[in-house]
Formats: sequence, structure tokens, C-alpha cells
Amino acid sequence: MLEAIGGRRVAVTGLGVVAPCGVGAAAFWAGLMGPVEPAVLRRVHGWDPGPWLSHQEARRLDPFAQFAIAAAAEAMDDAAGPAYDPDRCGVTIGTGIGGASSWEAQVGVLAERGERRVSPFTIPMVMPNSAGAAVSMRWGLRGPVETIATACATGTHSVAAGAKLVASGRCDLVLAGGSEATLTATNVAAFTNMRALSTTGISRPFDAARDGFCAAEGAGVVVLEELEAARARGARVYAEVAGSASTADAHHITAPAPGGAGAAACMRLALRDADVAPGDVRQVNAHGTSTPLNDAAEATALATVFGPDGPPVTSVKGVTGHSLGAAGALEVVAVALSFLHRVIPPTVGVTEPDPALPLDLVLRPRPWRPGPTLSNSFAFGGHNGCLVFRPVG
Amino acid sequence: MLIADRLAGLLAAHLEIDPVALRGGTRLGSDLGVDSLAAIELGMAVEDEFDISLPDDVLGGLTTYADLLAAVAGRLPAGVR
Repeated sequence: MLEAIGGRRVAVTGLGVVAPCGVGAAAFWAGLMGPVEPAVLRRVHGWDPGPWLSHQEARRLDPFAQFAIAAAAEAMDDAAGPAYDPDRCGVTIGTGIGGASSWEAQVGVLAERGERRVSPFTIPMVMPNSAGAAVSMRWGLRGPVETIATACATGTHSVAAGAKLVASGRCDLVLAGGSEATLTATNVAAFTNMRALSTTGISRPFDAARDGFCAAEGAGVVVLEELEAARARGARVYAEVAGSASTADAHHITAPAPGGAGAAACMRLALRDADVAPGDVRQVNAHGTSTPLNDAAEATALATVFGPDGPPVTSVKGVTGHSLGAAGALEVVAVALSFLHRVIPPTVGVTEPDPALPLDLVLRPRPWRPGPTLSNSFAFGGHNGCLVFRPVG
Repeated sequence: MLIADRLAGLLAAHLEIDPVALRGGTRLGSDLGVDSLAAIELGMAVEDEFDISLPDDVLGGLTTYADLLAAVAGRLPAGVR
């Protein structure tokens, strides 16, 4: 499991989140219960990096890196001060796009004021690894600090990568997650021209009237530690990262493979990695973007893996929108909180579940006894990522 | 306005420091935290403020606030002070 050596298990012990529905885990969880105002662009309104960064520091970090710092700080506070050898602490915080607004601003500077006025900080603000680098420097973490960019699967793949660093014994602690702040004028126009965005501004995963995703921004970061060490220091353990998998469709740059074949393969591999039988899964946190193609392919893949009477399925994107590289990480936080609160969050925005997609879709907060949970991410590029979580008794 | 006042005001705004604390011997690097990239950015702001050119070799040779002030003053037309 997770390429573990010596039976090492991986615990989630801290949560940090910056999302349009709330900053901090408590506000985020409250927001996930809905309702939410329709909005095709879901921004973190009133974002103020002040609590985490000086003005000078903030000026040299793209918003996506600022989000990552804030989420990492929340997660570290939540984990209540684990003290490990910094050479054995890592960071796997990814992003789908990177410092888009910094890039776009400097393109404007070049056009209006010429090449001699382009900021020398452009590259260090635009590069996708700048968020992980900033987190590494803030906490002095000197182990592996690496950035995965698999579009909408980034957050999921990044948490899997971090969990493997802990499971293998390379790291005692990893800050893992994803961050995205890419709603620039150019990118919004590009998403629009792809016909990927909802025209109604209502994100309604698996609904008969779903018409595209609502593009969002935010960040999710979790603290991952070796389970026995976490227990020994009396940490709160939200969940165990029990398994993961990664596959590719090798089919099309944006459309899912027919029948969600790559997605189904990924789910099965993840469950096998976690040594969890499909019949034992108690919750699926779906990718569920609210696009016609994704949701159909994912529902088909779920039916392939779980059969006709599958587990409860929810998509928090009804509230969060689709924050690309942050999405999978926000959903890991949502799963961890569903274990804590013993409630599966609802798929907000749905009024008429698509009858062609037979799922046990969670439409209202549903009390549950936490059990094995699958979290899915499927990306532009054909990247599939799945994580399996399990409660720790 | 005196060159020194304009320059101090620019540094205060750009680096978020108290201009009153600026002394001739204040070091740009160790006292004000201006690293190599920040120096380039600061140079751009100074060039814009005073409509002068500060070549890299000049910029790279500046250690203190007094050095910067002298570099600026020396590039302004006679009569400006």
C-alpha cells in the first residue's frame, strides 16, 4: 500500500483550506452544506494575505502561492506543532497552471512600458513550484519539495505523492495539496471559448440540466505523518491515507475516454492498493465537475466498479466550483471533515438528478458511520487520480 | 522637493520602511533587505521616478543609501538638487 516500507501507515493530522465558500476548515465545512449563490466564476472574495504574509512578502508571491501559504499555515496550526527533523519533512503542493495573474500582468507591462520594465520577480512568481518553495522556506522543510501539475488531478496526485514519501520512510511529515488562482481575463476567455463553463452559473454535478463547470480558485493543504508517530504525540488523526492510484486515458486532451475506462481502471487500482473491496466502500467523493461529458463518464465508471447498488456519491463542486489543481486537495479536506463530523456533505445545486446516471447521489447532508472512502479526480490531459481513505479506530 | 526627500519617499513606499530611519550609512542589503532581484526592481522604480538611467554596473556597485543618493544626484541635470 502506497509503496510502504516496514508497514508504515499514513495519517492525515492537519487541514488547511482557502476556498470561495470559506477560509479555514470550519468555514469551509459550513459552506459545503450550502446553499450557494449562482456564479460561473467562484473567487475567494475579499482575499487578504495579511494574516499570513507581510505586504512585502505578499507582493512577491502570486495569489496561488499566497493561498498555499495560508492553507499550509492553517494545516500546521491544526496539526498542533509536530516537531520532526526538517531534513525529513517535505512538500508536495501542486498547481494546474501556476502564477497566471503575475504572468498576465507582466505581459501587459511588456506591451505598455517595454522590456526594461518587466519585473525581475516574474519567473519566481510564475513558476508552478513557487508555492511549494515558499512553503518550504516558511517552515524550513528541507526534504523533497516537488510540484506535480496534472491539471484537475493535481491535488489528488500531490496528496498521493506526499503519502508515499511518508509510507516509504523518506519523510516523517509532508505538507501536501494543491493551489490555484487562475481566473485571469485571458484564462476565463479561454475556458469560455472551450465551452467548458456553465452558462447558468449553477454547478450541479450529475444533474440532468448540468451545463458545464463553474471555474474556481483556492487551495487545500493537509499534514501527513506516519500513523504511529502521530498517535505517540497525541495528534488528532482525521483519517488514514490507505491507498492511491494514477492512470491515463491516452485518448483526448480534454474529453474523457469512452465509458470512463481510464477512470474505472484508476478506481480499481486504488481500491486494490488500499486492500479495500468495492463492496466495502461507504462514500465516493466524486470528481463531479457538472460538465455533461465528465459526469456521464464518471457515473459509468462508478457503475463499472461498484455495480448497480454502489455506495453514496457526493460532489462538493456544487459549492466549491472547479478549482483545477486545488480541487482534489479541497476534496481530501472535505473527506477528512466528513470523517470528523460523521456527515457526508451534499451535492449542492442539484434539483433533478440525471435519470441516465443511476447513482446514490447525496443531496442533503447525510449522517454516516465513517468507512472506506474513495476520492476521485479526472483531468484535462487524460490524467486520472484516486485516493482511498479509511477511518482510524 | 529635494532629491534626498524624493528618494527617501520612494524607498519608504517601495520597501515599506520608515523614511526617518534612513541614514547615509544605511546598507541597502543587510539593513533594508534588498537582495539582487529586489535591487533590480528598486533600480527600475528609481529610474522612473527621476527619469534617469542606472546601468547594471552602477546599480551593482551601490552599498549604502548614500551611494544610491550620489548615483541619482550625479545623473540629474545641473540645477536639480
